[in-house]
Amino acid sequence: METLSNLLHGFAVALIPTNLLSCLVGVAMGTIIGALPGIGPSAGVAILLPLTFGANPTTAMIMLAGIYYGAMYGGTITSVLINTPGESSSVMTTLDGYQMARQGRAGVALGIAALGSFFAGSMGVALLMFFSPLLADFALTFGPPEYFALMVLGFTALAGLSGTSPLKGLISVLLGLLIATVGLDVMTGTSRLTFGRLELLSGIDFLPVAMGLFGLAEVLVGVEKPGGFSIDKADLSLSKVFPRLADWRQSRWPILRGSLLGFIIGVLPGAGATIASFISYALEKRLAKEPERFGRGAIEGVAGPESANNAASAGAMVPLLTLGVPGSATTAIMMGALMMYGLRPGPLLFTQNPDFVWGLIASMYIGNILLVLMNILMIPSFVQILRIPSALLLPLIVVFCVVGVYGLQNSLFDVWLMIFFGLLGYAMKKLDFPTAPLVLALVLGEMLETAFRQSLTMSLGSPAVFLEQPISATLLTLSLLVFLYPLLASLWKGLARGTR
Amino acid sequence: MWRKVAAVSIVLVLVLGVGILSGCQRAAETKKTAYPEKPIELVVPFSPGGGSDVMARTIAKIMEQEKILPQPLLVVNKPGGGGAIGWTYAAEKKGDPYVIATVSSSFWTTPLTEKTPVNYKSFTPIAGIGLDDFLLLVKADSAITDVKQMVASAKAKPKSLKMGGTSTSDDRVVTSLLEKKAGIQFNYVPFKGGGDVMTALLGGHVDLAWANPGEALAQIEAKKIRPIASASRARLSKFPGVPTLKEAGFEVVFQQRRGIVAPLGIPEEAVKVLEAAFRKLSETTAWKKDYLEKNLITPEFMGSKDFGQALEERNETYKTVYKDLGVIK
Amino acid sequence: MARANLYFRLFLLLLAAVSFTAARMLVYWKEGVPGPGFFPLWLSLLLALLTAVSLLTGKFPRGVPFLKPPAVRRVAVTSGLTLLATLLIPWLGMLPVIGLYLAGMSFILGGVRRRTALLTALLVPIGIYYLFEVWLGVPLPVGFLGF
Repeated sequence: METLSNLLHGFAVALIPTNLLSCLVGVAMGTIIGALPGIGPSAGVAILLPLTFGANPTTAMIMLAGIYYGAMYGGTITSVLINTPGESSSVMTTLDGYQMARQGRAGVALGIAALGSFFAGSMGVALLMFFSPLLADFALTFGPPEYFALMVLGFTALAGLSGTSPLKGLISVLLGLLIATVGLDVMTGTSRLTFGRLELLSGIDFLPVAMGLFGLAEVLVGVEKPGGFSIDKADLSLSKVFPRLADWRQSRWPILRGSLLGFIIGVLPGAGATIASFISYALEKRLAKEPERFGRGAIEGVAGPESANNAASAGAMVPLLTLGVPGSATTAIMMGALMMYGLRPGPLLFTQNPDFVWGLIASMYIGNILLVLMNILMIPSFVQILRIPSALLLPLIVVFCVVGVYGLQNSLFDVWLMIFFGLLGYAMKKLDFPTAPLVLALVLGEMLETAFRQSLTMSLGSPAVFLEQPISATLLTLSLLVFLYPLLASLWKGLARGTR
Repeated sequence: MWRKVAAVSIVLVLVLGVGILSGCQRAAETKKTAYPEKPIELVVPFSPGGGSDVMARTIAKIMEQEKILPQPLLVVNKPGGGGAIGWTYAAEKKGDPYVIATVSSSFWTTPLTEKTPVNYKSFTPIAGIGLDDFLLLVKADSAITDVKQMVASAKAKPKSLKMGGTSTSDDRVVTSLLEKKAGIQFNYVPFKGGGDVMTALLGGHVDLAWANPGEALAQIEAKKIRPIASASRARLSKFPGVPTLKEAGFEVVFQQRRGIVAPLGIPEEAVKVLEAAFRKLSETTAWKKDYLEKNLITPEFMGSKDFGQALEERNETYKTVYKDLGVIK
Repeated sequence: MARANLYFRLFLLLLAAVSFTAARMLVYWKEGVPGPGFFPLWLSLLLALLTAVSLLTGKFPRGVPFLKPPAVRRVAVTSGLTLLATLLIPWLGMLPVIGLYLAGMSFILGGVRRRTALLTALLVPIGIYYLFEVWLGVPLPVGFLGF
């Protein structure tokens, strides 16, 4: 009951015209930022941070949070329309979303993603409101061994993505892991595989790699034929761009599962949203009656991961607001911003600054409503992008990739990296090597390695550390089961047939 | 189609040629008038939101509000390479007094471990503007009560206490200094950043950790963690109940030094103007209230010459510790 | 196709060999705990091993060309122009390069009315200028033209 009265008070704060306006501006800017290939939520929040100086902390934070989850919505647009993920958590969306767009179902994919994101975002905020303290304690139980086990579970989920040849999938994963080791080693600070380049000291960022492997490589595939992409343009008429009841029926369970999964994983400080999105994808593929539809435009493959990554962005606010520790790269920047405004995020934030916390939470409800309206109403105009003649659209994609990647760190080196990975991605695509495992391994590789070495450091070298903790032991057992599932299933079938 | 390609290439080659020619002719003529006659870039070699960024933006704000300099300071973030990208950018602007940069610990550590060509010698020191202290922290319900007891238990069983930190940065140095003075050995567990260390400490995954007072205050006030000592010269005004390591019998004094540098070879006059500006800044109440007090930074102003000496001394400290640790040869 | 498959795997082997040599110089094991060299070393070894396996067991269709000649030309020209444009950015500045690239590419790919192409080449850099320089405050590289 107290929560509800607090929330009412929060709405009173969030509905003050300046705060309402800053929420609107925030989500609108976030959508644009997210829709630009290259600049994802964390770079977007960092770049727009100076805009909020001078505002009071609540107003400023409402805007920053709006940019954050607005960018999570917006990231879907480029993934679906031009196969270019703007952040690591929408990599999974490209797999089926882009295929749907090529079948003339871009509007349906975007619509389902927006609805799923809305559901996930609102549910995430509700969970955040009622269970924050509890969840914060849960997040703290995760130490290095637990993170290692979670990463292992994530990587076994990757196995389902490797397409036709498991060998090629594994090679792709290894490449990603190897690229993840480039740069200063977290544990010792020694530089690895940098070959004397200063730019490589901070490692190879996900964005240039993803934009190259997905965006640029797809452009190169597109220019092969004089006509460009083969997109079914007949179905772009207004009546057909929105999702129908049948689509919704197909997606509602993936959305619910994705939201829950996303929120729980998002609460854990670290690579929450990304892991959440691809565990959700793997889960939906496992549960589907015809898993072979995945990768060819299955709507569940968009609904699940998109809900998961939005719920995770709400989840990532839990450690920030309740513990004063950042849950993701973006919330780390927001925490810095809070300190600049003179608010000190910590365990006492809820009691010392109720206006701020509840105002922010209430504004997230409002922001989610604004976003779902905005995104659904804009679908017809977004879809028009596909009508641009490909001789213009393809170079335009390259241009936006280049400028976006440059804007990340103001560095041309990143642009060169992107072009290199574009060529690599083109070769991989032509030779039937899956690229998604490379990107995901790159995102999660550092955490996997660091957690592994940290755990062994903590136990002074004893590998038993992974099995002594209940959470990590459970997660590792689960990964083993997931890994062996196809084998067990066929064994079971064989037995069943044998006894008959 | 090849004809089209040829046409486009010819245009590009022509443009390229014109570009090279006019690039050569570009003259770098600047008139001599009172410095500064245009805005000054304040380079932060890290992303927005970090400690250096907070400092830089506060400086820029107060300089403008109090009209200390006739021209504004523009904060420019150049993250990457453990600060190396930003500092290299600034150092390469030799003789240009319109670029200055913030100094924090990686200013010394990255050149030492990475042998990057740009180090403290590549800059003109301008001013030292504050010291960030280090608190030794335990979880609130930890069995550790004070430093003496902690050292005793560490001596009884070497490497039994887990110390969280961030690999080669300041907390590694102060850990190593304490280990040496107390004759003990911690099990040092490195994390990616200060936030991760704090999370690990709160979750009980490590026993001890260092943090700046500003980082730890919220957690201390919430009684989630407890400071058992500070590595400062005297007790910190905000934590009068927390003894220094010196009081506990271990001669360890270590602070993170924050300051400002400019490229080499800038006019003597510009150094004076900047030094005076930062001296004035450090005396304003806005600076004391909005930066020092809020972030619990110990005030200590140093002019160009003193700061230059401090830069060198600091480099020696890092060098010795890193040699002991085997990080460098 | 057979040659492309072979070359790509040889490239992977080369990559693995380079990383392996670099990883050899890093500390592999220290005080009972894997050091910085542990992961890169094993990863490059495994990469080499798996690539070798796929090289030996893979059935690469012979005779099927990687791409038909006109497509090869289009892909090569697009990649070449993109590389060239990126090389030009520091000299010419980001915005002029974008304009030229858009005009050049749509000209080469064909099928767009000349007026539409030129208008795009003019308006997109202006749009990008407002979006990035003015609104987001990202300073784009400036060439000798001064913009």
